[in-house]
Amino acid sequence: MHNPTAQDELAGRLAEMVAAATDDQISPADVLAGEHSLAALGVTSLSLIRLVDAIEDEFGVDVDPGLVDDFATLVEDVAGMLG
Amino acid sequence: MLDVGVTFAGAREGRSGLAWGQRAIYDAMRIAGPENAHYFNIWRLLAMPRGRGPYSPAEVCAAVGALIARHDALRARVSVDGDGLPYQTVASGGGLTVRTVACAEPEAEKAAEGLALDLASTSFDLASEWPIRIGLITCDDAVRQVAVVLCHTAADGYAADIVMRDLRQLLLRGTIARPPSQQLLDLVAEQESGVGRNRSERAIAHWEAGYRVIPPVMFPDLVAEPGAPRWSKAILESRALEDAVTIVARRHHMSTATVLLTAVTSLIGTIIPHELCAITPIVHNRFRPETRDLVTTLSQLGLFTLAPEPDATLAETLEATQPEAMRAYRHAQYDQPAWDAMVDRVSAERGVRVYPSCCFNDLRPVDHSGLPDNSPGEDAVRTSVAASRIEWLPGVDHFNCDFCFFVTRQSGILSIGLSADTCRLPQDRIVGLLRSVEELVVESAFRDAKPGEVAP
Repeated sequence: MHNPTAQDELAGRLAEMVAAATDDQISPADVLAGEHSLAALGVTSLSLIRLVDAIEDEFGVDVDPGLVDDFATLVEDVAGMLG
Repeated sequence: MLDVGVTFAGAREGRSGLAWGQRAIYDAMRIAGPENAHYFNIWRLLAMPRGRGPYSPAEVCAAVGALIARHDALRARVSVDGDGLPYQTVASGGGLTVRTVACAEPEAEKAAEGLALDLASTSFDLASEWPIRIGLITCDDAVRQVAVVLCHTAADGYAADIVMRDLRQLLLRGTIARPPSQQLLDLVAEQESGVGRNRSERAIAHWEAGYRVIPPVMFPDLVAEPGAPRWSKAILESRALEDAVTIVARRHHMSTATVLLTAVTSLIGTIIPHELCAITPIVHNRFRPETRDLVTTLSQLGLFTLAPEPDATLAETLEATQPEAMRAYRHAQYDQPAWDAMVDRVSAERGVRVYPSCCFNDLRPVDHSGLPDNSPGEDAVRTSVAASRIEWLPGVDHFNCDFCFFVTRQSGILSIGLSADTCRLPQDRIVGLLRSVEELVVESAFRDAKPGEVAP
């Protein structure tokens, strides 16, 4: 996925999914700001598994929860798997 | 004592294989045999909501009927087909006898517990009996308590809490507007689909990679004469641990369960000199939103491995192993017979049966909320260690797991427990390990602490 617009859309959608996985304890805007790791933002282990499950359900790709740290890398990984 | 009846009708019906978690428990119950399978029964009590009622037995029976009609799993009976494979039939309607016991008001709570234990004391007949038993405690013809016993093929601990929540709601409001987020028959269809098969294959691949390198068994040596009973069970109730584990969990952005899982696995590494320690957490698998109201047995074993580092602090170990903990939680949903086949294959290749016989079970309700914000200071936590106490619970002389560590709440306080084979871990070491977990976590809340410094 090399189209910048498509990648931005993906980032927007993933930020919403991160927020949903935390029961909206953090906002998509905080996630997109990318100033902190997901853990530092408050994404707990429970939220992380919910996020990875949601990504699998929506995009059909399997993200290793052990390797999810910062949001930018997550977006790149998912984009890479989507080709 | 009086028997009254519940009827239910108009629900959907169907036939399916067992869901993965159901199959795991079904196999365990089959191995245990009908004389021991009642060990798996789950029971709960519901005190009648105060300020409402009084509720007659007929009114409570109507609510129970609506409850059973609401959830596929409570109308499912398990039989065996011509090839010896289990399947379940979900009925659209039926009836259930309810046992009623009258008592005086002050005795209601105790009588309810006695009734629940009695109802739970025999195994379910999976083919002919509904997977739910109901008992009512009445005072002056009004119901005071409802005892609910569930067969573990129909519900795990989390599902039992959903059942009780729904029953309470039905008693208070008569109906529940929203249908369950998912039903048993839908879950089985999902697991049998391509998506489900892929999920299972990925999970089993994770297990297989681990099973090729972990010790075949975590406590291989018989080091002592059997205690009485051989599988002894102790529990440590500790406010200090509750406060400390919350501090550590918040600091590392992880759950209290992951902190305790890592702490106990690190300490096992100080008892047994393995290069790699393996422990199997029982994972609730309630991460997806659709599992919110799903009544079934979703829990299955995950595999967590940790290479003990004697010089590493707990904080360092938590950071290093968190990815592995995430994978353990993620890969705890799989087709049980396919998993069994993998274990057979890997065991044959290694020339030894691989079965760590070392498990971790967090029995607390699934907590989707954050950790509490307020924590007492260091002095208060350290002082409260003196108030924590060990209690011995009834054990057994035969069991299929050498080491079962569990987390629960007792008297409103976090408690950790251990049921272990005393030939491999004598009673003093059971207590020592529980105390070491407490000390390691309490120390780690306020300074860098290493497992080796507090080893049992």
